[in-house]
Parts: sequence; C-alpha cells; structure tokens
Amino acid sequence: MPPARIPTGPVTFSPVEKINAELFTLTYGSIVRQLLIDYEDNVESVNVQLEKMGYNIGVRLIDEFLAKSSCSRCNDFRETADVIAKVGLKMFLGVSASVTNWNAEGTECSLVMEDNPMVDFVELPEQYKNLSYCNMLCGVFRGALEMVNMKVESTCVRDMLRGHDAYEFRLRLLEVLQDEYPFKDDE
Amino acid sequence: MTYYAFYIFNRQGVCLHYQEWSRPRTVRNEMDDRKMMFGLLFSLKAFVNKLDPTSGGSEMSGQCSFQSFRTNKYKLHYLENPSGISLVLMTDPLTGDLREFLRHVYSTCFTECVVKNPFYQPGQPFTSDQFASALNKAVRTHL
Repeated sequence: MPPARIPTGPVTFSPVEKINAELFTLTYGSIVRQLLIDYEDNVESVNVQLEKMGYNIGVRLIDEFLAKSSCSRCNDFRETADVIAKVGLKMFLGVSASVTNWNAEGTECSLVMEDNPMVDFVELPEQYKNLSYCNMLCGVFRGALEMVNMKVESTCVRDMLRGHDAYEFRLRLLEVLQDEYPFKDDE
Repeated sequence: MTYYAFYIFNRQGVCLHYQEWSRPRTVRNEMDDRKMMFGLLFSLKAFVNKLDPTSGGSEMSGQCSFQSFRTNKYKLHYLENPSGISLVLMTDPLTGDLREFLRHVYSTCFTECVVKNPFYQPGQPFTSDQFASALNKAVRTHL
C-alpha cells in the first residue's frame, strides 16, 4: 500500500508544461528513423543508441521530476517502482502504469502500460521486427534511478508493436549504491 | 539579510557552481575550500544520522538530514535532493529558515536553466549566465 505522502498523478501532472502529443510522437519517430539510417538498418546498434540517449535524458529528468513532484526519498525498491509508475510516467508521458510480477526478493518488477504515446501511428515493418522501439524509455529508467543511487537493468519485455497486448518493461535492481567519500584522505 | 556565498555540489563532491555576493574573508585556495565544504557536509550528514534519537531510517534513505547550522558570525543552510545535488547557502546569523527558498532555487533556477540546457554535462562544473542571473533575481526578491 503506497504511503500517503506520495503525490498522485493529476496533482503532479498540472504544473508541468505540456507539449502537443503529436509533436512528441513525431519527434521521437524521426529520431528512431534517423538512427536507423545512420546505422544502416543495424537494429541492434540502434537499440543500444536509443538506450544510451534515454540514459542521458534520465540523468537530467530526475532533477526535473524531483523539483516538480517534491517527492521525498523512497524507502525501498517497491516504493520506487510505485512512484515511477504512478507519478513519473503520469507526469512525463501522461499515462500511468501498473507494477506487477514482483519476484520473491522484491528486486525485480514489471511496469505494464496499456497505452504509450510514443508509439502512436507506428507500425514496425518486417525487417525491423527486432527493434525495441521504446528502448529510450528503458534508458530513462536506468539513468534516472542511477542518480538516486539505484543501479537497475531495464528491458522491454512486451511490446504492442510486436503483436503483444501491452507494453511491459522489466526493472531489475542490481545494487543499491552507498554514498562514499570521494576524496582520498591524504589529499 | 546578507547573503555571503552559495555552492552547489553533486554526489561525487564536484562543486558544480559557486557564487559569492560578499565574502570579506578571502579564500586562499579555492580547491581546498570546496573540498573542505564538501567534506564538512558529508561528515555532518553521517553524524547527524548516527546520533538520531528517533527511529532510524532504512538503509536506503537517510531520513534524518541536517538543514542548517548557525554560528555567531554566519548561518549555513543546506538542502540535499535524492538525486545527490546539494545546495549550500551562507547568510548572516539572524536569517530564518531558508529551506523553501533553496527548494525554489533548485526547482526554478537549477532545473530550468542548467539541467534543461543540453550543453550541461552532468557531473561537471558549469557556468551559466542564465542561472547566475536567475539566482540573483531570486535572492533580490527574497530579500
């Protein structure tokens, strides 16, 4: 049960400036298209690049998220996943996700979205069937969580563009980093 | 209210930004000054957490965080975010609680002018005229 202090969707959705959804979708689509051209249709490389771009976005997005949502530090990975699904995704993509499929130790979960504005108007042709179109989102999760001291691995498990019935992202917590004093004592 | 100096640190101890309005005591070595400030804050956070007499936080979140300290000559205000970005502001000792102000600086000046700038490298010190003027404006309106 999420603690009462986590602000929920609409409250955090309103102070964020919004852009036209089609502009967003078309911009993302042209990024993917351009990457495919630049990497000469090498789908694996494009997947890697999308994830890297997402990582760079995530590293900055976390500050924006913390500034707009005034969320306090999460106590554990469960809370973190809830905050991402209910507040973060709602704030930035306008859709919220559900958190399911927890493993026994509580270090792995799935974020399931019924709807994803990034893939409006998109149909994957046969030669790109291995393309992880939403891989940028995986990178965003990884980048943002790394800034709050959680090392995670994020993969796209189900993708409606490949014929599945929903979008599912698997988040696996690799380790929780501890704050360390960065300077050597003798300096 | 007199504002003396302002620092922004990230989690790795890099001083991302330093701004001063009036610092009569000159700093001999800037690198040392930054390191000392970061070291002080790091140690204070650890101490404050260990000495917390109320229930201890879980290992992931240091629930107890220090907010300010006051001496007879100055007061130091501190705000740390979960992303590791911490803001430090030194003012005269009679100043009240500036946490809201620091939050405002973080969300309007830092997030808007710095984080959203594509040429800002996270983890590197930045110089941004926009940020400096936004900060000065915030200080003036708050005064």
